[in-house]
Amino acid sequence: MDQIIVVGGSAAGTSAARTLRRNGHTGSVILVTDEPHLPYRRPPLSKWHLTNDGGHDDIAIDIPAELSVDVRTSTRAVRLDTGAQRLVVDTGEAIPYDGLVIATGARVRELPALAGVPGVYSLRTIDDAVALRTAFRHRPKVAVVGGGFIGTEVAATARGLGLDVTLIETATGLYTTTLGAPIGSMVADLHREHGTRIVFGVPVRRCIGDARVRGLELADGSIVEADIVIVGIGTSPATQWLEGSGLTLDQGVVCDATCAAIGSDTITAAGDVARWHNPRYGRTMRVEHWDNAVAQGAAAAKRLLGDRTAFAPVPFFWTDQYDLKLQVAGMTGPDLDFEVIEGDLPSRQFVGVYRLSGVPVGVVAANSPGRFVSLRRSLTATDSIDVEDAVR
Amino acid sequence: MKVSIEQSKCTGSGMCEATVPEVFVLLEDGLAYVKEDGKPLPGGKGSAALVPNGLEDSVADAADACPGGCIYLQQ
Repeated sequence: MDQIIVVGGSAAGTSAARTLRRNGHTGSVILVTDEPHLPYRRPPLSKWHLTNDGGHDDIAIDIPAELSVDVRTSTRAVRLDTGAQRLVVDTGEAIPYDGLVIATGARVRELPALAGVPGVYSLRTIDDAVALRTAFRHRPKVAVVGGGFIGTEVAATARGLGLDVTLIETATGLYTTTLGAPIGSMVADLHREHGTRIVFGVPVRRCIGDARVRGLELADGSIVEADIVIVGIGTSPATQWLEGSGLTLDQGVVCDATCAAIGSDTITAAGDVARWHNPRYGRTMRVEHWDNAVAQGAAAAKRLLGDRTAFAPVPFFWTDQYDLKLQVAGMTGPDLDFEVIEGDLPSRQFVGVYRLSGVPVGVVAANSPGRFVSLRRSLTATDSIDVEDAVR
Repeated sequence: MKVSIEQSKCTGSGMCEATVPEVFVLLEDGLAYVKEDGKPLPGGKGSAALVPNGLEDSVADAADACPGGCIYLQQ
């Protein structure tokens, strides 16, 4: 392979670029990113980066000069011509490639009723974070729409600054589709104890205010006063530019177990945008977390260099809210059997296990990082489990 | 090259230990520490371990891969 293009400049893309060089690729490496900024870390954006005056330098992902990666910022991929092996970017340039890593991540979903209204924010980029923390300085009343991990982290950060916060979640509890109702209920209690109001089970109907938001009207007619609204209702994989490319798209770029796009030997995908077959669980997955992005970026790069090792990680993520640290590994979900095996939920210090047909497939640790290490290792050491078989 | 870790930002992901076990270790508290001559040093950004020759690139990679962004390098 002579020229390899990495599309996307976040965790997965930078990891791929670095890995190409570390594994002996001597041809050119071009990294294109639609961001005006050089690569940076996203996890701090919803946490400490919202509360201090830190700049890009504090969260930059370094790409050392000796790696000679041609980083092109403010360059958006608009089309992929897989026949001619060219990436078309928004300047009109068609860049030829011999290998391509797709790492365009995901875009935040918007709430149509709120889209474009001044005072309504989302949080994905460093510019979003800077806009939000600037808004926080005016001591606004804050409404957070969406009680997922981003929503709850931002709510905790805003409340930690002493702001008036209301968290609105359409489901009947927090984390109902991820960690499950018991943990969601524990986290909701934590937020309420810190003085955040939570509204469950009622969608947002419309925005109140003319020039800018003054509040939200919910579907039951109730009003939530707010000077700013933060929408965190999830993301969609950024695959729009790949329509018509011939690649298989299904809530992400569909890849085999080696992170190669289905039917291609020259295109791989990694990070939030990739839906790949994880042989450890015998099912396709799309994981929107830092560790996976880094590891999969490396795997996708090695695949282009001829390494056909299957990518079979035990997913990991963490969340920090107030004094609660949750660490999670493996598979979780409301369809699995959940049991607290040490400690208890009300004390917020516990470890729990998710089981599928009696087999542990996931662990969660609350304020128990020491115990988490060994539990996670036991999961990693477990032989692969075929989820579809186990369900039968 | 010397390397240190700010444990207060450590997520316990273990990516550093997986990348360079000669230099990083997760201890009983679930947090990562740097090692020198095979022995963990006390925590803190000021507690820096000398990186053995030949491992500099791997340690730099681990610092970039760290989810907490809490691995610090000094040339």
